[in-house]
Amino acid sequence: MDKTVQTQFGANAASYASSPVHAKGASLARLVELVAPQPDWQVLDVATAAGHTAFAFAPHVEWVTAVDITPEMLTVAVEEAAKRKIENITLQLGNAEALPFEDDIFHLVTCRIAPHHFNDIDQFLREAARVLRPNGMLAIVDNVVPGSYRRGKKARRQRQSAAARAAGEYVNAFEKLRDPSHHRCLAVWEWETAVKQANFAVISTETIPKTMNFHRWAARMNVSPADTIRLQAMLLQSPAPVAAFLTPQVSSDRIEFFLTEAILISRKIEGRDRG
Amino acid sequence: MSETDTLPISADLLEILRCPVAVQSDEYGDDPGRLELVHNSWLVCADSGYKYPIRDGIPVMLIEEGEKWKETAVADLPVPPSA
Repeated sequence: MDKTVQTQFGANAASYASSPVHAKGASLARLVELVAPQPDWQVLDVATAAGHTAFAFAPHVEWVTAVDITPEMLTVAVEEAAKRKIENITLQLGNAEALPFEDDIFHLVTCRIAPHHFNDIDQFLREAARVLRPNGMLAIVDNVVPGSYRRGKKARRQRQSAAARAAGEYVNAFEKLRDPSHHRCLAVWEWETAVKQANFAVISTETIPKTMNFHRWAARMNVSPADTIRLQAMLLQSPAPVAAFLTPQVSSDRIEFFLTEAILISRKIEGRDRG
Repeated sequence: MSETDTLPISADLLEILRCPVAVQSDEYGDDPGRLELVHNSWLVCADSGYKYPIRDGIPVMLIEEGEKWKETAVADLPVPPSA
């Protein structure tokens, strides 16, 4: 993404509107590449926030409609769209779990780094299936927690083990202490199961690790000093399966760790009624 | 063109937008939740009775917002929509 565009973010933009993780994350370019959007497509971006994903797809498609539940974020997105002179976009307030659109109209539904805030991911997936045309594509990017995404018996044993589940819960608790609006990150296998249940066929799954600077990560959510110490303890004293996932690294001037983003592309299965 | 220029939202968007409550229901026929633009600033769903304001050009399609105006008669809706 164009660096000069990023510096244009107004002073009133929310801190993550200019956050490199959200604006420039490797997953955004990779997402567009994997989806291969077509010029005649109608696209819906769910929980668009500052609009980064919607803006990335707009030049490649006919029209992007973007919804978010937060008026303040949408105001930032409207201003940003005007600044970038993106004209094939509509922004409106809407809830991922009750989308304000008729059935079967979009070629693509995207949702990036947002589902972990949703109360009911299954309901969001049902809504995405409803508004997508037959064979329409669903592209999800979100942080994931530990849990194997390999197929086969060994993977099944691994994911069902109490240790794997506990590690996932630990990472979710870690995220929730930092951000109370964090609801739950799924493991990759949980995503695959959820989209299949919502009448999608999985096309591809990829994961991308991203390095986080611990103190900047905490500061972005205005975590109190006391909670920052708690988070640091959770990170540095995490049990082995969690440490293997977060891989905390302490150097003289900083603490770093890894979070993992998954990109899940799936397709709405044709010819089966909803409900 | 002059007619569409005065619309607060595009005609294409109005065509695909639906009431998020009515669209979930089987009670209203084949195409539930159609919206009608009134006072050039409100989207009214005849099926559910929910009414959604358009503020600063942004349709507010949230269920709780539509519900707030459910009992208000169309003639009594504030123009422009109050916050």
